[in-house]
Amino acid sequence: MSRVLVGVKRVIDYAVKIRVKPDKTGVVTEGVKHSMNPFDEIAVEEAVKMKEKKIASEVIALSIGPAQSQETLRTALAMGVDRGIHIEISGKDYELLQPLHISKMFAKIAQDEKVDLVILGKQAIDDDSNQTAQMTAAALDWPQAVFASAVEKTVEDPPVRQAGAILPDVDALVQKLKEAGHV
Amino acid sequence: MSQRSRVIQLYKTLQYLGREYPVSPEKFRVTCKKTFKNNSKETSPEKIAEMIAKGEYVVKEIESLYALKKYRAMLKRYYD
Repeated sequence: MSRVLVGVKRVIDYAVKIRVKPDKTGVVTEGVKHSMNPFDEIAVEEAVKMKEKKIASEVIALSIGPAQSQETLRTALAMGVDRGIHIEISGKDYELLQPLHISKMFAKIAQDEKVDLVILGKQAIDDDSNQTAQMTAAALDWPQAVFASAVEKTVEDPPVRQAGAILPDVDALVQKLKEAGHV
Repeated sequence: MSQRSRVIQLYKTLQYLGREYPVSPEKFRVTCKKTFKNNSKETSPEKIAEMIAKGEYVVKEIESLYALKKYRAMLKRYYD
C-alpha cells in the first residue's frame, strides 16, 4: 500500500474567455471564474481510482497559491481525496512563483509526508509550462513517467536503479565500464 | 430524507448545475422551474419517487455532459 500525493492547481476556468490587462503585464484574473486545472483533475481521478483498487492507502492533495486555492482543494476532497495541504502564497510572491519553486515545495512535502508516489497533471492550462512534474522528480531523485495515459501496477518490486550511480573516482568508473564490457 | 426535502434538494442541484448549461443557462433554468411547477400537484408517493429517479438521472446526464465538454475542449486545444 502506498501513499499518494497529487498536485492541484487553481487556474482560470477553461471555458472563460481570457482577456489581457490593458498595461500588458498579464491576464485579468480578478472577478474571473477559476477552477481546478483539467489535467490535475485527471490526476486526482487516477489517484482516487488507485485508492479504490486498494493500491493506495492515502491520497493527499497539495495546492500552492492564494487563499482561494482552498476551493480547489475542496473540489479535490469532494472527488475522494483524503487530505488536503494548502501552501498559501499570494500577491506579488504568487506572481513571481515559478515551476522550480513549486517543484521544490512538492519535493519537500513528498519527503515530509513520506509519500511513495506523486501524481501531477501533465501541464497547467494557464502557463502551459509542463515543468513541475519533471523538476519534482529531479529534486527528489525519483524515477518519473511523463505524459502517462494510464497508471497500472504490474511489477511488485521495481528493478534497482543502475544508471546515474555516483562513483568515488575515475578508476572506479573505468573498472565499472570494463565489467560491463564497454571499454 | 423525506420525499419533500428530496424534491427540494433535486431542484437546487439542477438549478446549480444549470448555471453552466451550454448556449442558454437561462432557458434551462426556466424549463426546469416549469417542469417542477407542472408536477407540483402530484400526490401519489410512487409517482413522485419515479419523478425523483428521473431527475437524478438528468443530474447524472448533465454532469457527464460537462465532463465531455471539458474533455473535448482539452482535446481541441492540445491534441489537434
